[in-house]
Amino acid sequence: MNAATKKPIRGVSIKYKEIAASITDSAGNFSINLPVKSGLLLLESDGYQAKEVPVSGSAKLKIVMYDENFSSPSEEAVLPTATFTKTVTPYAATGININDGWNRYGETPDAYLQGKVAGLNVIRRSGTSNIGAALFLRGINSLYATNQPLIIVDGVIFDNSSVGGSIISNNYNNPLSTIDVRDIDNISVLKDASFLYGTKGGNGAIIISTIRAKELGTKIDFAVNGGFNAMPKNLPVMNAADYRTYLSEILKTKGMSDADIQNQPYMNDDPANPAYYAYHNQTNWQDKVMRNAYTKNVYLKVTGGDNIARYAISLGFLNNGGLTKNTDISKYNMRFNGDLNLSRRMTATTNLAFTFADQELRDQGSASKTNPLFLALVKAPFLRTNEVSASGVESPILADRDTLNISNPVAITQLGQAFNKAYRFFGSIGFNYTLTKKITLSSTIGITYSKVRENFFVPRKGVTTDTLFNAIAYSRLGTQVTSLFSLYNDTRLTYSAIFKKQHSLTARLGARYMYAKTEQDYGLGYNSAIDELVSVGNGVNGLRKIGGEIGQSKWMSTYLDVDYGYADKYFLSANLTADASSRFGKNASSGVKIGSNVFSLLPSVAASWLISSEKMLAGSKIDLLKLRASYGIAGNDDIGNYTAKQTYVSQNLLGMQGLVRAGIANDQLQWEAVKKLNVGLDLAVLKERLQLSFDFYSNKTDKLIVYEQAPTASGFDYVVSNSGGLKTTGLEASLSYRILNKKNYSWDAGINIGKYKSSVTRLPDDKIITNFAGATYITKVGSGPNEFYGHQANGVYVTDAVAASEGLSIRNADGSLTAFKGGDIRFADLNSDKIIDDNDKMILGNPNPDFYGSFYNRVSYKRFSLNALFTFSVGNDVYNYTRAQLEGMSNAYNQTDAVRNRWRTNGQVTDVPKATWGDPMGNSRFSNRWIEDGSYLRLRTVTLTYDIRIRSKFFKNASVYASGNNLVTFTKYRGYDPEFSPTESIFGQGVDNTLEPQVRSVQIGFRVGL
Amino acid sequence: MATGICVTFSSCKKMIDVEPQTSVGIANMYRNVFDADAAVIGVYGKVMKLAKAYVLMNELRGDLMDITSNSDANLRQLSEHTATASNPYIDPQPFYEVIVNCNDVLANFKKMYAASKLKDVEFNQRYSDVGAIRSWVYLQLGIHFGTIPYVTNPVVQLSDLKDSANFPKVSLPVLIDSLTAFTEKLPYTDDYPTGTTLLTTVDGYNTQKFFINKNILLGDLYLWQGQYDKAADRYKRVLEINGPTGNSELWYNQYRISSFNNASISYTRAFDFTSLVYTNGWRYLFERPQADNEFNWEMIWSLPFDKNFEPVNPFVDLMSPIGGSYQVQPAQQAMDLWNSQTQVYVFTAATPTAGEVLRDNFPLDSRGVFSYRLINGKPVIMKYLYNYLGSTNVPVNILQKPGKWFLARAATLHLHYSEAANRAGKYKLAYALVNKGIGYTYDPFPGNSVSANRDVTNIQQTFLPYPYDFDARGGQAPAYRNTWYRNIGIRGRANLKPVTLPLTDSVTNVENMIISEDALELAYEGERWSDLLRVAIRRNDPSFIADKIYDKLRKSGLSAGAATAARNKLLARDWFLPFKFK
Repeated sequence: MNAATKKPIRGVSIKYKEIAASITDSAGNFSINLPVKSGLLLLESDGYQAKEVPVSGSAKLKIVMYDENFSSPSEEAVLPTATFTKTVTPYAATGININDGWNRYGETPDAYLQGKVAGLNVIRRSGTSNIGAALFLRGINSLYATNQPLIIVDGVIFDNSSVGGSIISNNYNNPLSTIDVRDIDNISVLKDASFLYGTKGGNGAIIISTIRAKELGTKIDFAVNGGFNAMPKNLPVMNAADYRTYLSEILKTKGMSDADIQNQPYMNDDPANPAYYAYHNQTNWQDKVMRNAYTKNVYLKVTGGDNIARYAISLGFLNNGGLTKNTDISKYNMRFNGDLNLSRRMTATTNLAFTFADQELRDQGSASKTNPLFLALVKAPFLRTNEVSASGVESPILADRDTLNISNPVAITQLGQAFNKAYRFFGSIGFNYTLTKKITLSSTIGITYSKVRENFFVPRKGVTTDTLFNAIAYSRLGTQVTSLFSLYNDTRLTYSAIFKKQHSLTARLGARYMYAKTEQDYGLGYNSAIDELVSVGNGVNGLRKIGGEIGQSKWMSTYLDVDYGYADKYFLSANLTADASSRFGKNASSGVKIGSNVFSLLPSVAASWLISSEKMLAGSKIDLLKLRASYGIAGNDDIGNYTAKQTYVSQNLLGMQGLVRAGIANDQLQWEAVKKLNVGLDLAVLKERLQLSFDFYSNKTDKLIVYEQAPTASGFDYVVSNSGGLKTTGLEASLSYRILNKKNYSWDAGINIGKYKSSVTRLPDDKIITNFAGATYITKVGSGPNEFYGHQANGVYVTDAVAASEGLSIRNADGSLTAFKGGDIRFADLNSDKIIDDNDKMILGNPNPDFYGSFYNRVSYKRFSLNALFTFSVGNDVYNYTRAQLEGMSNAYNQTDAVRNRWRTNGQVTDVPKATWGDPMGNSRFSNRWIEDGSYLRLRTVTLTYDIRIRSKFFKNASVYASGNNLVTFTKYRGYDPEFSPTESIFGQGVDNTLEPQVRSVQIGFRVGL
Repeated sequence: MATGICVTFSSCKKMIDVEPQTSVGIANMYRNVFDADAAVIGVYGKVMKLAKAYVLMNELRGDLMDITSNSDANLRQLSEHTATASNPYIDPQPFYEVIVNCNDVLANFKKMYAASKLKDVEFNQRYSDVGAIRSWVYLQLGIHFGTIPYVTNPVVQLSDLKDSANFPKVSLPVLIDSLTAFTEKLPYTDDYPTGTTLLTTVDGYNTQKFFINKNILLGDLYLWQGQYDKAADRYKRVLEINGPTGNSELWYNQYRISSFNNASISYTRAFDFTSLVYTNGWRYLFERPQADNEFNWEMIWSLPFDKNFEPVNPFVDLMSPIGGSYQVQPAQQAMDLWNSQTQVYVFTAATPTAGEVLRDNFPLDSRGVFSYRLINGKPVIMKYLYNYLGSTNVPVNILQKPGKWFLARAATLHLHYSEAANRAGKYKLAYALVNKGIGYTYDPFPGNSVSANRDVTNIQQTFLPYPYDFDARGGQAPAYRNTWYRNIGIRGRANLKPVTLPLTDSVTNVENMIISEDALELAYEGERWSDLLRVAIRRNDPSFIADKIYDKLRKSGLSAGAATAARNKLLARDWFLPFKFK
């Protein structure tokens, strides 16, 4: 019966494997003859969530079914080999109900996943559209290889790496952005079931299945949306008056005399002075570079077909205005998926997808001369965007870089250029041939080709110069083309049978092969004659630089996989993979050598016990109780295409090119081996209204890739070796509850939460120190892999006398000591040698959260429904690089209002040190002054939908909705936004290097089904 | 299972293997003579990166170069002999980067030769060149670090690193014996002959002088070993590399400290020291375009820094106050040494007036004037800056830093030869080459012009057996010019009064004179520390080096306090830098 209305449902199909079937009558009754004592019945009906029900012995069952929006324990998860319901898989795999994708059209699939799965920490890279998110599935498994899960789209490994990086600072060419969320039928996140991908499965996997026609009738979905992106709240930088005071003070510490300072044009307050109007303004530079922007989108999906061929076609167009002025993206995507019944024994599938995106961007991150957002923060507020005459008439000509040598941010947004044009084509064909009743041969071939063309131009007008090794760079020009070609095949034999009606056995023997070739070519030019000449060829010949990289890899994986189930109670899966790869060394130590190649041999086993199918729980209040455990080894082959090889690179002698050794080869180089243990429990009670999943896991990475220090006498600084170890343990839980379940209204709520702790277990050297944007990380045995490492600041010396009494000093480059004075930061002298230096550094924090997750509420009332998703991250520390620049007080950068409280005279009690040009005492060094708590709670999305009552036969359904993204964020973080990820590496997480922040956006849309 | 899959495909290896495309795999590296040339060029490209460390370790630790108030603590340590292993200026790693490449090249050249991918002559020339570079780098490491890992195997794999047998440690004397034994067996010790593919002109530079001179290296090794006749033999081969057939300008001028090679200190007006010639002459040796004759006659091994190519000339930053950070300067000790010489204008035969005598015996050495210069009141080492600063101290382009690294020139050769000859008992010969030349010294009536109508049949020559035989005859009756007739000696070329020596203990006195002349002529060219150390070890007299360093530090405005400690350290034979092993 219907769980809400308590009315019987007619026409529900009931199945027991392929053995017995039945259907409910108008009173909702059915009977089925089971050949076995116990087993699972599968119930399916249109408009309802499918459901699996355990039966033992002969029994009378009363079964309720829920609407499609209900999150059911019988939800499907797509595993590498087949689709399972969560009820029967022994793995920790989560399938995602993607019904809300229609309201989330502006997001890339990776960002969409935020908050959807317990244990998957999705950190959006920045607020730039299309840029996507860094995905950390169950924390950290590697230091230098990727930590991103493997992505599989329609059975083909999706190369999700950005080839060669972007030449536009802190941009990221996000391959996943080529998939429209609405083109996705299902996303399954495999936390441990990625064993089947062998040496690519170490970080788990995300399996994406795109649209297919589920029924034969033609079905058309059309949606049109429009929206608005709002500027974030400005950071509180000083106004012109405060800034001028600050400036005169800092210039004085530079050694300028009072008279010199008074002679500066910005100090002359006489309106008759010709420079008066140029230097007496109150410009809000943040408003000059950021804007509110609009977004629009059209999408069409058609599915249908006949007995022989079914198709699903989609077309989409999106335009999204960026936060930074003059940035936006136009994206076009097309997908054509077909399913063919070629003969009685043979079926085929085809997938074709093409995406083109044309995006205009600007530099972001640590690009202090060209990042408009950063420049807007530090630019003197008394200056103006355009030139101005002596009488105060503003010219249409933009102002040049100023006397303080800071670029005009508006020159970057108006005259500068940065384009990214990305194309991606994906095509695949799959065949399925039934050899015998029990044996099937299937094969999938996929081809991906993608190309990203970028170019940028930094004008000479308005922008601070760069210094090359042999010239000054006024204007800067660049172009880059990156491409990826990959060929993938997966061929397997599947044996599937049921013995004695209770034993189900499926075994697969197969092989995967992947060839990938990436190419990057770039050219940089300088000093084109005029700012109208913007392409690289116009740069000065002698200064032009070209470069690039070509990477190739081949990978072959053979696998054997067995799934066995008994009586729908006990499930066992085992698999073994053997991989060979062009990246492995010829003598990789833990592999098996066959011929000239080394094969990894990675086994895994998983088992589950569906306790609720046992007789003892028959008729109890427990609808589902399942114990799961899995253990196995997966690998990470992101170890460099040629690291194992002895190679030579070019070395110039003047203009002649010679060849020299690239480094120490490592013919024992191998995959990182991740030993994954997972123990989990699934529970559903109250007629499945309350569901709980709980998992404990432990991932131990052996053979961790490390840059090991090489002896001096080797001639090289380091050698890449498999000599580290890392361990991550964690917990995750998800709970969902249908609180109300009535005919006219329902209320669902749920929470998922994840927690992990990583620690380094083995390193060849004492410690590894890594730097990113002024932050220092330490990696050492016993602590986390990427902890912030710096000085501890304990306030400001109130007087010279207090400072003198503590007697701390710094050592200057020439070896002499300089003592701290009043107004300097009081750093902790950890080794008590009275000198503040590297030996006084300590662990300051950790960018990894203590726990993270989301909760949601879904309320529906009649035709209205309201969805709200909150995401949170707690306990992650952030290095606020931006604030370090805005409160460092070491140069002419404008600062935040906080520095008005800076130390000025002996006896002044404050927590802001004095302003000194160049910061000789290192008061603004990397210390806990800049480490902030990055915890946040965010109303990630909220959507209100109204289903319009349709009486026409022509329309099947229609709805209007309004949704909002990032509308409310609760955080103590003092930057624009606490969520960002400037790099793929773990050494760089938690560093806010002035990226475009997340924007708050609202959208309204209309969707109609024909 | 895996094998099963493999069998179904034609070749498993092909399925899996890839060759790098932007780098070169070993399979495509050593195939033919052009690959061999690329390997040689690669080695020299790496050698270029040693320039800064080479000059700093040899000069700042010596007695002629001092720190400035801009110097950091690490340079100070180097100058005051208190450097610790973490000092970045003495990191041995870049030296071993050259060595690992040399080892790789040597091992693979042997394989190429065995596989007939290189002809005899191609193999001999290139193998010897790279072998010599390795010996030269090792000699430098030995001089500075004493006991060092002596790696000769190509360390290719990580497993090779873990094998300590690849990294035996040897002390300086053992190292020198090993290097000598290896280097003297090199099959080819001459320069690359004309027509070799490696001799070419690239970006306006003739590559001829880019390559190490193997005979000079061997001479130096023998000099360290104490095998003076063998050293003299090797030096002599270079001294007479041309002649007596072929182009006579070459055999009169090349490497012979010739009166004709436009490398003298000279004046345009008699008795007027303000008329010192700036161009041509001795100073211009350091500025000359690399292609001209005089450059070719003086320079034996020199590598240029070009404005368009990396590495960037390190000397501008190190030495120049304009466009650089002026971190080293001439030591007061060095300036005193130049100022203790007597500059003469003419070797006049006529009797000058008293005033003329005064002006003709000026208390300085004009080579000092050209070795450093006062810029904004501060003494600046100039030898490396002439291509950058020019005569007005204004760079043509402040960011373009052309320059040269001088590794060996004719004066170096003459002084080292003299050192060997002196120790071999040929004091007069050594004296002659350092002072006013063979012809002058071996002439009972010196100073006569070549065109003087004299019979020189039995004068102006040493009458010594090889390698001490020099014939400098230049006479008119009968007209005769031997290859050494233009030789005017190191001091002669600098127009200095010859050194007057006491008559006792000629070996020591002549040697002292030579070492002193090394300072005057070769200051800052990276010879000093090795010259001092070699003699201190030879004489078993640590005070020889300790006192000189003591004097430098004592006179230094910045390091006077460190003088005694440095002296005591050096007196205790604690001469070597700490070696950073990892």
